[in-house]
Amino acid sequence: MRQFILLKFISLRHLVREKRTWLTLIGVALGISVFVSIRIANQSVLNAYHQSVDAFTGKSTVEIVGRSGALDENILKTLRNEAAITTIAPIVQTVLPMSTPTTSQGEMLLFMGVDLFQERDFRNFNVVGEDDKPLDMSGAFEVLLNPDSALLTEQFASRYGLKVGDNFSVRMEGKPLEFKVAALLTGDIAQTRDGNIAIIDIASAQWRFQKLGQLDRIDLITDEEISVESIISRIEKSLGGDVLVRRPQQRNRQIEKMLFAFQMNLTALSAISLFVGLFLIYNTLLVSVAHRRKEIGLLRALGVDRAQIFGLFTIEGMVIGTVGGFFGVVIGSVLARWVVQVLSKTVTSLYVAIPPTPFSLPLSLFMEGLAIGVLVSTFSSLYPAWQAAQLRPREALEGIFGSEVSRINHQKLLCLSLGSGLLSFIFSQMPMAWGFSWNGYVASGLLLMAFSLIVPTTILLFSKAVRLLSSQSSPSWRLAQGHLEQAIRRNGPTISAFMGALAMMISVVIMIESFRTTVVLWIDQTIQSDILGFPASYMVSDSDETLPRDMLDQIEKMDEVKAVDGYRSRMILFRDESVELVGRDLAIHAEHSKYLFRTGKSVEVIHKAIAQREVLISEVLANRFQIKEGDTVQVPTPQGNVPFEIGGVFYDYGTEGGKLVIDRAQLIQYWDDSHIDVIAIYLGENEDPTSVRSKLLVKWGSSSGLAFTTQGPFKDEIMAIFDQTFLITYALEWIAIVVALLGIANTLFVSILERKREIGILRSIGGSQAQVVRVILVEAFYMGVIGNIIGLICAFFLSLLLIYVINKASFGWTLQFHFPPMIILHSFLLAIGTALLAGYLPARKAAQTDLKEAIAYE
Amino acid sequence: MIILDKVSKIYPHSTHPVQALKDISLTIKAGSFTLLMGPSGCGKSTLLNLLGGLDMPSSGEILFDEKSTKYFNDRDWTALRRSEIGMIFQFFNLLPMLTAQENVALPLLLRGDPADQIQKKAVAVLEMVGLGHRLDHLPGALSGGEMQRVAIARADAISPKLLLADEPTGNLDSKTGQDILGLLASRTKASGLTLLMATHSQQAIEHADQVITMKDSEIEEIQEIS
Ligand SMILES: Nc1ncnc2c1ncn2[C@@H]1O[C@H](COP(=O)(O)OP(=O)(O)OP(=O)(O)O)[C@@H](O)[C@H]1O
Ligand SMILES: [Mg+2]
Repeated sequence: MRQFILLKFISLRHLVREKRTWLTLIGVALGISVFVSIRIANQSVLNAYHQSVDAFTGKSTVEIVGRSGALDENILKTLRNEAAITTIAPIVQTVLPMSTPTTSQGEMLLFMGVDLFQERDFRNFNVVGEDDKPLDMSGAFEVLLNPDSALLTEQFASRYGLKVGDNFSVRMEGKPLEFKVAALLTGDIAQTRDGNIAIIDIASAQWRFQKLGQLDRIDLITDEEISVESIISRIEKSLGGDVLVRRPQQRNRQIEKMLFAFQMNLTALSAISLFVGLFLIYNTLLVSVAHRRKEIGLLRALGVDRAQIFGLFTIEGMVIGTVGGFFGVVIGSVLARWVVQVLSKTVTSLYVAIPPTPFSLPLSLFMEGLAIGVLVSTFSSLYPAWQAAQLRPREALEGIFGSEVSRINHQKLLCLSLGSGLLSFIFSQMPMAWGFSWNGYVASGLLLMAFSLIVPTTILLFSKAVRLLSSQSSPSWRLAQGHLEQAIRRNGPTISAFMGALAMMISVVIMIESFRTTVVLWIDQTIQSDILGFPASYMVSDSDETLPRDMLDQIEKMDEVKAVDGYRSRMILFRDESVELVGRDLAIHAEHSKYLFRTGKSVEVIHKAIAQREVLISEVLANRFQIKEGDTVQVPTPQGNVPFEIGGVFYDYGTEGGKLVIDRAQLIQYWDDSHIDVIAIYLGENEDPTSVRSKLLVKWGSSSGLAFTTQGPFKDEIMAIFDQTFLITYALEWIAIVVALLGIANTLFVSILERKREIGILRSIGGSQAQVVRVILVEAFYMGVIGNIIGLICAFFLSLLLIYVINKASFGWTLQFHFPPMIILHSFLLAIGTALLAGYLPARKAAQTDLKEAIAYE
Repeated sequence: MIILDKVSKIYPHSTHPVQALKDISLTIKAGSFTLLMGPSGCGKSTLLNLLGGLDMPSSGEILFDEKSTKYFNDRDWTALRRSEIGMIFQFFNLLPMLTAQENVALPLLLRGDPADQIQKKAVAVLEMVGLGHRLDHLPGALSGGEMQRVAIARADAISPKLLLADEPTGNLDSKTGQDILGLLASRTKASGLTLLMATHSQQAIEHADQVITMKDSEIEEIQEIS
């Protein structure tokens, strides 16, 4: 009860009356909003992903896929003899772009070739015929018998203005492929991929997509009485090693693993803002304790005990956290709308096609945001509250004017800092786990801690140095310095928070710059062809569209063309995981372009690989499977496993999961795959790429859906994708800076409250308003400079962690460390600009202090 | 010469406005030592604050050497405080992070005196108040009497025409208070400045030329001492 009275009379009044409470609230709300928005976005993206996966998987318990790519349909016969299998649903699928309207890039449409009679046991959908009349299965089957017939989802059909009986076409190998809307689909499956699904008969699919005798997947429903594991091993035995038999859930595990790592990284980044927000509450309360020392002394003298004082400040922190959390969730959900869009785009271009994700804010996330607010604020108010409880009534009553200076144990702080740094190093050397670089993040946290701990000592040293350097004639510099030193306890946490935010920002910039420089270097060295030709849908991640097969020959025959390299990529299951297999004309690649091998010259390594039928692998793949040059690996082909020696490991920043590269001749020999995805065209000396490009465009026409780009624009396109990927990262960083900015403003505001008297004195002995403003701004300037000096050094180490530990573990890429020297200048401008901005309002307020009050009382 | 003409001060308050000064008219001669006495709450501090430009009168007019301050803005007052008015307070009001010498040098720095003269002047003034051996001490390391001496030195450093002192001995024991009073009186005589001091101390009367007694926001009595 007494606690309640204290709260009502003391805390509430302080909280409401003091402006800095609002600053803190905004900061905390922003910090939490970032975290929450990323959580919401991650969740929405995951939901969208799962939804599309689930509707696909349906009720099947086991699925069969070919290790080398496609399956031979003859295995169906073997499966039919297996008693434990209740139903068998073979599937042929492909993703192609709509070719109507012809001018723009059409949407991607997933064709599922199915055996309709089996399907009803698997997936949930209904078929609606003309006049919205539902069709039963045999009716649906009837309408699909025609090889041109396709079932479209209602949404998709209405988007394209298609009705039952209308024709539409998709594009394949540069030519339109026409279908007729036989009926419309409703039900669960119609929701996947935003409705971009077409169902056709499996035989038509094989025929029209040139997959005769092939299947992409077989879904099975098995006898419930028998354990799935034993059925899997039975099927494996009877089908041999060329196929992979697995639970459908396993198919997505790899993508889920990558998604998880990606999302964890984002979450960790967003935690930065939370961390800065935590500092903000900590700082606010610490200042509040210092500021209200007298009041605390008085309360103690009036019979309030330690526990109550402790409770008072903890609850004040919690109130800030709860209110901040509430607004954080509200702002976060607004922010999330944008984040979801960017994120689903990024995820689509990096990992897996997900539909444009609907935004939703489940109650659980709302509560979670609030809980985080309360937790963070309680946690950060513990120490200040403890400090308040420790005050002896007499000391507290004597006030704090000038008594704060000497009580910091610098030796202890430096030892702790050193220990923290050492621990950080140890963690950085540990292996990652759960597919995510937890140790890298722990190491980063420790590193930040190490640098935060040297802040007080740095302030002292800096202050001493300024005192020596600043000429006697400049009172603002001396006064600001004096105050900075006097209030180390208060300025320390602020500068730490600011330093941390800056360090994280700068290190991420260094990391991205290193990444960018590495990628630019890689592109410059490896993309040498003058023109690249590919289906326009190639830039969309999961298109199966390929180039016309005769294109390679036709272009090669052109006078201007010196050489062409046909590039084909397909997915295979390497050691049960899906990886990219590339077949290309290695001889031409060796002659005109190159790979950046870890060891060895490009020309030599490639020629040896051609001669000895070796495989070249990317660094990411080597790291992922722990394989290296000289190892022999089994590559699954339609003709069984074939041993390949690894001829070289090259740097590649283009694929997420890594790739295997073999000569095109072998792709044709083993896979009988003569498709081409991309064609690299090398022109003779003196040929003009732009005019040759125009010629190519005229020849194939715009309706072919083919794109030809010259080297420059292609590189730009890659860099644009690159930058898009880091968009969120940048945004997150900026918000952290804003939160830190609020922290500085907050501290300066308090500094003014506490210095009212000092300002009054200054004014009473002839200081002008402008001089008062200058003193405050100079102090802010000092804070900015100190924050940035430590921040830059911290950022340097942090970026090493980011590049060589976190990034390496998360993506397997080796980046060349690149420290952009301009960042020193930029960060100083940013830090000082930020600090001055944060200092300006408080300084203005300071100048208008009521003089008579300021000097009147102790 | 300082003239106050019907100066009033009302502190606004929604329900209970406070009239701290009521039609105060008086003249203070240049070079005189004037005491301001009266019970607590009679308006002494308020009057001193008005003279120092720390607060503005609600009505009436204050003239410095026949110059009206009616239309003075903040900048004009600042200029006046830089060159003509020095202030001393009960709680010394030294800046805790500056040494004694720096505290004294500060007003000179603020008004932009030539750098080479400032430190010389600061040292000289401190020696004059008997603190030549405490130049590099922070206020925290000084006694109350010493702090008040530094404050006097600081006010004196700009060679003001008018020195305003609000209970300068109020926070000191009577012996130290005597010393400070003596110091203030001798500084006044030596440099010919005008000293206006609010105090409860009867001991001060022996040094004064004029004693103004206030009561309930008004002047009760003006007593010349020959
Ligand atoms: N800021 C203010 N707002 C409202 N009333 C005020 C304010 N400052 C002073 N007063 C009132 O004005 C009157 C005069 O105050 P003042 O401080 O001038 O008295 P004083 O003579 O200096 O008293 P003391 O000897 O105790 O210092 C008092 O009644 C006081 O309550
Ligand atoms: Mg008074």
